Amino acid sequence: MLSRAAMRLLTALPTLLVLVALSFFLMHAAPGGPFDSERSLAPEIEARLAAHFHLDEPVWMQFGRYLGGLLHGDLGPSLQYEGRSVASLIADGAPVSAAVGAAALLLAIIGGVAIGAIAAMRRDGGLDRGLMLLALVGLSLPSYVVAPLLILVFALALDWLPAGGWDGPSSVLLPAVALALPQMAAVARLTRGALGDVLAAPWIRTARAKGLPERLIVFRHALKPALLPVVSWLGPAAAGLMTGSVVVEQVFGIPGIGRYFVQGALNRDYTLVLGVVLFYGALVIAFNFLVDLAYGALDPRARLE
Amino acid sequence: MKPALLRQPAIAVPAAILLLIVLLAVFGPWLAPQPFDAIDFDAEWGAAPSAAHPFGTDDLGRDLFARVCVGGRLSLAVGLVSTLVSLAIGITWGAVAGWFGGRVDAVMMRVVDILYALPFMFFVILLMVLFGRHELLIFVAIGAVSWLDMARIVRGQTLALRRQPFIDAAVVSGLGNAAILVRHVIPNLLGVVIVCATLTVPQAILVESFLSFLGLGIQEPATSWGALVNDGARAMEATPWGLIFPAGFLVLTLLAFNWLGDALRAALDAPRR
Amino acid sequence: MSLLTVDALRVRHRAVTVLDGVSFAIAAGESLGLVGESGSGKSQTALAVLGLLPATATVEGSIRFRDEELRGAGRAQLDRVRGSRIAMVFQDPMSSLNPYLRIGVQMAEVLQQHRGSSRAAALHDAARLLDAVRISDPRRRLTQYPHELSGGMRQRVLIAMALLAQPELLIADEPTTALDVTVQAEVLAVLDDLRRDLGLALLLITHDLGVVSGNCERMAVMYAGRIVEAGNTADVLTRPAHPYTAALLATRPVLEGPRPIRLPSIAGQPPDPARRPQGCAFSPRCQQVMPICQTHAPVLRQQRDRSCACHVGDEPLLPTDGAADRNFA
Repeated sequence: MLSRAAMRLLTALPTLLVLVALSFFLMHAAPGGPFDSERSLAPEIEARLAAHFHLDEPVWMQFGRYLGGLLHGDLGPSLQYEGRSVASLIADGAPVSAAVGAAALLLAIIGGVAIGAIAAMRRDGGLDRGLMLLALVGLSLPSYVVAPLLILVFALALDWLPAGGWDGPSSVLLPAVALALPQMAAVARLTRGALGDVLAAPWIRTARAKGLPERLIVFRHALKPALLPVVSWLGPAAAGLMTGSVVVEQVFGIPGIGRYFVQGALNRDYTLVLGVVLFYGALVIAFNFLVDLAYGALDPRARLE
Repeated sequence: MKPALLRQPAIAVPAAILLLIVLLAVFGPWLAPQPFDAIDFDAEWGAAPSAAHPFGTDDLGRDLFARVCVGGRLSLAVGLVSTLVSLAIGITWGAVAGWFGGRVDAVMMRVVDILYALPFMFFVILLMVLFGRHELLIFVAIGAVSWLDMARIVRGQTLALRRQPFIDAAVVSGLGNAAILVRHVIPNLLGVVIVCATLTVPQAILVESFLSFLGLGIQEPATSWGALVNDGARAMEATPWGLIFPAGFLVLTLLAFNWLGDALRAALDAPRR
Repeated sequence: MSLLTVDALRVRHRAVTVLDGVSFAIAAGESLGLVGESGSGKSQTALAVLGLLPATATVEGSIRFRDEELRGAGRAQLDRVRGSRIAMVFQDPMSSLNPYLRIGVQMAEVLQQHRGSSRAAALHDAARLLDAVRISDPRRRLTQYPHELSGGMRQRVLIAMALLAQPELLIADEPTTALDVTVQAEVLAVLDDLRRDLGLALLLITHDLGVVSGNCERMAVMYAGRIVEAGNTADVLTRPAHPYTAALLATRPVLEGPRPIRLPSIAGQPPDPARRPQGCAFSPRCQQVMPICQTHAPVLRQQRDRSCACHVGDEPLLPTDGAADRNFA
């Protein structure tokens, strides 16, 4: 696993480069430009704007310039938000998105592991079947369906929580739940399956023969190996949460990175979109790297490899 | 599908639900009081469900029942076509990697790993925004990003198959690589591929409705469940049925596919134990 | 008085009867070898004693440990006996230790659970036991993970772990089957020494007659879910009374004199537990089979300290249906 983590680090830069190049050329190959929507622009103003942002240069030169900026940690200026750099826009949105994302991740892991563990301990019983059916339903509940329903019930009908906006901790809760629900269902299914398999292992029989109570058997002997698949899931889950956050931020009107991305894409704000894609890409890679490390820490056999 | 499988309730129930939904999407619009894009000037705008409009009307006075059916056609079509695209790419990629093994396999699977680590949905969004919201593009874009799981599974199965004696026999008899892949390997992948495909359909439907929800997918006057959920969510305080009916059908369809996929996988695993 | 008394034990998994009236007793400090082919019910017997069979199994009969009935006992009662008064060592040392926990944690928890020892005291005792099973550098072993030890070492760890709480009875299920021959001898020697030192009773389950002859005072032979012969190990091995025991003995490789070209084996297969033949289960493979064998199962009959369930050599028996043989081995 350590070698896998090292491999991940080695491939991180080329991966990001591919990501940037793909997005960059895709955007420049597409019809339309960043200043199309402002119809009344005089041609000379448009030309000056283009010159200001170097949009009049050949595409490969622009790409080189962009990469050069990246080397200095410069994501460039936003084409739409006047006088703002992409980095500052991301810095504004990141804490907001991170708060919702972290809350959702925490919720998904804690809730999912608890539900999965209960189901595994009552395997094939009524409770197990009920919980797994719920998990299947949860898996089929996209965030953009859950989010409006949550608003309808908890904000509009009951008036317990704000329907949107970004105003203190209470505005984290509903978006986090909407984001977490499908992931929680996935964790519950993973945990249940893995814990069920582990509880059937010969060394669990040894533990039972030692006279250990079931509580110790589950928590000391079985949970750690059963969590390995959950840990592997964290990588894709991070990507899933980021994707989900795009809609959830839209629905709740949260000023996070996801909204910048959608706005930026719609407005052909090349630099902003590139910056966000790059940021997300780096985050997902970092997450996967941490997952590899965590996997190695959890599984003593993996450390040798 | 074998008739024996259909006797298992875990397979028969979701299959029946899906059949009903498909029938409704295909034939429903003819039962509807008016075409999905026609406006009923007699009815109130945003009318509650009634005999005339079983699911009510939307804020333009269009019949929601007809719209849910027509939206379903598109969502289901996206699910099926995108899955076919992902099948084609995934099976080819996975079978080639698994069959040739060694360095070819290592490189091909590393590509999959790298793609896996990318926030793919952002690419799809970019594609949609930049190249216009053409239906065909939706199909291809979604298919093109959802083949990774398929490729991994097919590759694993192919690796396992390659060690089977009947494959050796085919090699010894002088059959070429391509012929062996097409005649012997791919048919034996059928089980896992069906399961994987069943689980890819809801993923594709999810992606399409996700895009449409953001306003980046299907465009007026055409509609899909995602677009309807988006419309419904905007007006949900006044006309909650506008959200509840399309959301209900969307969730039920996703649930039925996931359920069916689970049950098929269990049925496939069972004889091996 | 017996330490463990198993009486008319019957185990069914759904419709399949895997144990069909097994009875035997072990006195304190005594060693009993349970011999038979795989599928004869040896391991099922061991698992049944500790209540480790899956919850779906039906268990009938009686399992008395001193004056406690263990059959149908609840988890709390079983947990007081398991690991503390009856310990068990399993067949496969590779998978019987938790690969995710250090050896020290897995050993110490036995004493922490049953004796209320502190972690430090438990680890101290664990190191002492590792030393007793002749594992070098015990302190360091406690900090290692199972995959860092060889198979023979792991099996000795399992034995040390089983003996930590000073149980009165040790059940060892094929403790050496998965090991190399030289390692087997070592592990058995360790087991035998400790047993004598600690005055431990031993139920040794094996398919290997050599292991029984070296380690057990008494032995019982199982076939198709029943005990077919029991007695003093030396007696049974020199003068087998049951054709099955005799056939088993004949399959042992001859080490002296002219060797046969092929090792002899018992013709045929043990019966499918779901479809046992009528009468004596061994009759289809028996070379001395008589008409009565195919219609009536023989009862286990006792003569002094020997018992045998066979029609051959008996006075003509009154037909019995053989369901409830209650003679103790």
